[in-house]
Amino acid sequence: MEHPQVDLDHLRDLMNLMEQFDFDELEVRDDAKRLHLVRRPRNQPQQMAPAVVVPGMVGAAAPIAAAAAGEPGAEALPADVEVITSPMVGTFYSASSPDASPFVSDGEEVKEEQVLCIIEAMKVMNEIKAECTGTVLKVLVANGEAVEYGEPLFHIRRDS
Amino acid sequence: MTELLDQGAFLAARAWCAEAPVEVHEELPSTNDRLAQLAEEGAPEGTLVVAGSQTAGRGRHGRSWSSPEGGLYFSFLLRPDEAMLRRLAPTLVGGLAVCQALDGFTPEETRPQLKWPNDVLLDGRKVAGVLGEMTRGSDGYRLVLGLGINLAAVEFPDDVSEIATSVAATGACPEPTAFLAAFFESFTGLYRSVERGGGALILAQASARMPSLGKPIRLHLANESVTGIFSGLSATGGLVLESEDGTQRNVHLAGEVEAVRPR
Repeated sequence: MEHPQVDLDHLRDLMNLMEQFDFDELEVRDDAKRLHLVRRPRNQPQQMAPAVVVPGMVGAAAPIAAAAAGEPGAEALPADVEVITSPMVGTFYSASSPDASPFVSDGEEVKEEQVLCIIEAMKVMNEIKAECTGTVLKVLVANGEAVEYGEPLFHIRRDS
Repeated sequence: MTELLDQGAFLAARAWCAEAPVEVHEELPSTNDRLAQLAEEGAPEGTLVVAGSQTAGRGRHGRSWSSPEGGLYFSFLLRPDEAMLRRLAPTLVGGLAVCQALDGFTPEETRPQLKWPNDVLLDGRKVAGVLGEMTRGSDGYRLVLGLGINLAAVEFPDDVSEIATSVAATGACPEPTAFLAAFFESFTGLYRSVERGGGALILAQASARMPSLGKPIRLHLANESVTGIFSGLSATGGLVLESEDGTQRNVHLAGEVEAVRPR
């Protein structure tokens, strides 16, 4: 298999392939390089997405767009469970400061617009809010972990 | 501090988004919080909140930001669209704009420098900090950019007296409005340039002010520390950390840089 080069032609080819075969996610790696592409529907926003400029950059290489909701390989979730995904690459914080209690915990009820977590990128603290009123079934990420685009953060059961 | 309280002077100094309101307070808990409230009420881009001191100024992770009198504390509102959010981070642009504004006041031998991503240093000590707070509302993204700069001689609390400094310590003492005018002149030019896709040039300007670039560093992340060579900046301003054997590069968007001696 050809190794990934972070050059625009190669990226364009890979993106076209993903489009053509309707792949949501694609990863190509060798010892030194890892290229991870994730696709998601156009109507979902993303923030602070770093474009690729560093030649041969690994790690946060080539994020194109965040994935649609859904954890790859996870069992299907009930229809009333929403997956809150990260709209950006950054560091996940479950609380406003290291000493504060978490914004939300498993089993906690949340209201629409309630702050669920903060994701930091480039000294911008981004508040991620609940999009519906419901119950947090699971917080999927630990405090201080790095998150990628589209990475599932919370499972929330919508109130009917 | 009469000048500080002259709202007209601040209106004139901003020279950006002329229709947006300016609020000047002698003291506020936090200019970021006040502006977030105004943003929620629909304040336009460029809205500016200034305070002579803050009683609950914030840094990263709820750390307090010492905000005594003699400093200048202000927050202004950006309403970036999604394309803008994928470009060079406005916090880094803000840090660079502080440096450029200070160039006009500080002695030539005291060139303001940047500690990634946006702390401003004079003679190796922190003189200004930038903190962005963003939310998404029905009206789109609201990005509150808060800056604190120690202009006049200030008495620092013991825990920061070794690592903090003021512009006055260099012998310069710009009036708050004069500094603000220089800052917005610089920031407006840089931000418009980012909008037009000119981020690469600004990255080069920022890089030139980062003394630890190209050197070994320790980057303190939330739960661990990593070491390597600070080899460059990504397009959004992320820190590119290269392993010492050169085989791996990772881009970091958060963390605290500490210089380490080369082995």
